[in-house]
Amino acid sequence: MKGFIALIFFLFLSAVLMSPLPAGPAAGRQVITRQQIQQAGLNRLADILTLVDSWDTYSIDGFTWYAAASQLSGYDTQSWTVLIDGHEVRSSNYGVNNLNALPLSIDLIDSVIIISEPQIYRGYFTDRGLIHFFTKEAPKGFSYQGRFMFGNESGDPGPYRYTPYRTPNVDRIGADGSNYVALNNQYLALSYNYLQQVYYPTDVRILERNRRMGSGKYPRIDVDTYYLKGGLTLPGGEQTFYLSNSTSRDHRPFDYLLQEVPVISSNLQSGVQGPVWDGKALQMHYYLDYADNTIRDRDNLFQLEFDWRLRYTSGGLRAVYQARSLTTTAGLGMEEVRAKTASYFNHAYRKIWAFSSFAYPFTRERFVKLDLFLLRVHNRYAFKTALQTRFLKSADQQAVLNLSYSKKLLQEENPYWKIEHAFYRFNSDRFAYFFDIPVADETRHFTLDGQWQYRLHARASLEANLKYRILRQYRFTVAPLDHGLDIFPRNAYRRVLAVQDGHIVGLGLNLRHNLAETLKQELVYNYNECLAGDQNLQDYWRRFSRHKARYQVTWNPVPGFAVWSGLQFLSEAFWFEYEISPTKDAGLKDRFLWDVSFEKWFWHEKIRANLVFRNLLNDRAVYHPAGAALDLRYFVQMELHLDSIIPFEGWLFPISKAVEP
Amino acid sequence: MYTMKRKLKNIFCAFFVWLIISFPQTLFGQGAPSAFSTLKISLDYVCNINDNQFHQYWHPGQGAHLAVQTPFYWGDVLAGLQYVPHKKRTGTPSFDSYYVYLGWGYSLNLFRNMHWLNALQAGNYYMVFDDPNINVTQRQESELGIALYSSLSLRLYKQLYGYGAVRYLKVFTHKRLELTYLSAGAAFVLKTPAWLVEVLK
Repeated sequence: MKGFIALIFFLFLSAVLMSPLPAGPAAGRQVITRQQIQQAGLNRLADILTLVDSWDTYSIDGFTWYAAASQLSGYDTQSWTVLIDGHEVRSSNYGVNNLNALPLSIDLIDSVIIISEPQIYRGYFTDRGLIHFFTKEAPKGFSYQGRFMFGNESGDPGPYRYTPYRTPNVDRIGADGSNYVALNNQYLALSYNYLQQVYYPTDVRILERNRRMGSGKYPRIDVDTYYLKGGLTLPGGEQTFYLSNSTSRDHRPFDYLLQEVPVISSNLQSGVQGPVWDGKALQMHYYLDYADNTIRDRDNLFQLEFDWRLRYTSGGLRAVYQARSLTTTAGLGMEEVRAKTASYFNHAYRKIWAFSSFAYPFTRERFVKLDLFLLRVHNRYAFKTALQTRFLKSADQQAVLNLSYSKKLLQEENPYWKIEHAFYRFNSDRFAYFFDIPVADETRHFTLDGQWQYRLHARASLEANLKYRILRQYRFTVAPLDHGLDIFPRNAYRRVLAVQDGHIVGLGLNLRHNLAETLKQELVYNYNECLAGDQNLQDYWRRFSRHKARYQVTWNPVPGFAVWSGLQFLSEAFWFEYEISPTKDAGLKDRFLWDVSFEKWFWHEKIRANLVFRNLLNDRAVYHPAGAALDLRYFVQMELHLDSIIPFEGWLFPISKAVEP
Repeated sequence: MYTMKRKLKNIFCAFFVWLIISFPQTLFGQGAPSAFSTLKISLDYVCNINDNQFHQYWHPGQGAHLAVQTPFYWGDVLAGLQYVPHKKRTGTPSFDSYYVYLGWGYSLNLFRNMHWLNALQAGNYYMVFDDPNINVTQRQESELGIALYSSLSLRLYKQLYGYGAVRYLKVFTHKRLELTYLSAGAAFVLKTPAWLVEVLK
């Protein structure tokens, strides 16, 4: 009832305040373009995170990457939102949000928008971060696109395998392959992408335990995905739909078991969206999504069984009204989440939310946007709000300030919390599990993000950022992957910790400079620190590198040929839960990573060849105390772009916009 | 002695890289309008000349090297394949190595008919072991190999060149392989077919 009243209030407020529209500020957003992806030689979706400076990442096996968005949360929830072409993809499955398991080949990405500050974006409140992938437009007529990639990590024994200098084998990377076909005519646009990826988690640091848990089989990760996208043009506008499935056979670290267990995870996703009303001042859109995520077991040493399933059914409406100088966005949505296991558990809950956003330019120099968001889960409410102000000092200088408050419920971050609790209840005699009392099932975050942009001259710009986060009742989990040969290790533990009050601060600098028409350079520096708060939080935050820097140069001497070089520095990190481990080193040393990519197009941009070297300095790139060391690697990518093989000129048009304005 | 060798090697590598990049026209000069205009196809005899721990286990035999070189927008690009058999010396199996690479370098005209090419090459060092007792899945191995290459070529007759070269190859296995080769052979220069130039550009 309260939710309903709040909804009416929002809609009323929206109706009262409606008027026309200025362009909104784009603070807290990073846009990565197709060209940047290609020039940097990125070959899997998760590689995009290497270009997102405000996010922190780590990997255990080198294939699955975990991320924390701009100090908005720690690593343990992985509940940041992922959108593909406007549809939310429930890629976060039991604590893993693996971008590499998304049903998209990287050569189909047109652009990526990353939101790193709390605000309303397309009806989502981004207090946990958001990544939005836009896929390429289906070219007119019939088109085909194919891609092939393989790589190799250095450090194999080579011929020394047969000498006393023998070392374990470090296997190749890939080969990955994808095929894309598209048909676009006047009324219907259809595209289909099939992607297959292979990865061998065979680094010396993780090989033996992966092999042991996989019943002695040689460890291998396989990901098979497909993505079917369509657009149907009707008198009221274009209706789009998609259907995708992603099946991963991987080794997944389970907090429950403190082990990496070979599993098969499958994510089926589908959705439709389109305009309900497309007027000059008012536009209304709807969406309906369905997702079915499952985890099943693979052959494993201890015959552990999984049969877990999460189903999401959701729908919503979003309206944008423009009148005079005010832009009002309002909408509502609903989602039913059903978590179940085959034998024991079947639990469902419903989320309902309403939101409203008002953007208004008070003066020519000052622009304000107010976001309001109300969520209801299980008779509990969470209110979230953000206020963004942009000050335009001159044509070359502007400042943006974003303030936000959000209450986060446990169900938002952990849809399977009941299964989790049940699991621990069933297995309480088998291993230690601590709750630091009291553990709240809701947290409150206050954030402040300031940004100052200054154009030094026509070819150089400087950007400075300040972040401040206050975390109240913040909850996080630590569970070291530090087992011996027991099923459940005697010394290992899983600990849920909560802190009353934590203060995080972050600073950032970004300098872009075009040395010449063909030569660009960029220098980025980020600093973060837990300023105050509970000792547990301060210890926990040490797993994020305090200093991060990246310098990159792009040289594009002639059309169709580019050389890209990036040098990244990550300062030391410390994972305190490994401090007592006799076998793992809790501290990760400073890392210098130098990558070089060469890109060449052939045959009038129909063939693209790309050669990439990662970690050329061969630094010991370890991201997790129990993780692989990602040594010097090289990748070769080949793409074939046959756009509009059968063009049907004159009566065809593309189906979707590549980058939203 | 070992330290001295290491120092000399480092000096050689540094000099080599300097040699490639120190010519301003190499990096910032006008893009050659003749990119991909010719193909220089070469075939040469290869022998290994250094001696280190690797040679306690294997004896590199006589090999062959086939390469193609063409002008790029800056400098030249190279692609090639080098084959060298390795005979066992102790209980280790013999193996054949195939080094497939891509490279880039800069060629200097020393005299009217003499060219000095210095290049950096990167590729896959592919090894095939011939011992039938080895598991089939383990008979092949591949690893990244990076090489410094220097060749001196002399025009003998019209499009025919004779040349000698030295290549220092480092293979990034866990215990690195460091191999230095001398080679000598002949090269033939021909005009690139127009259709191939279209594809390459």
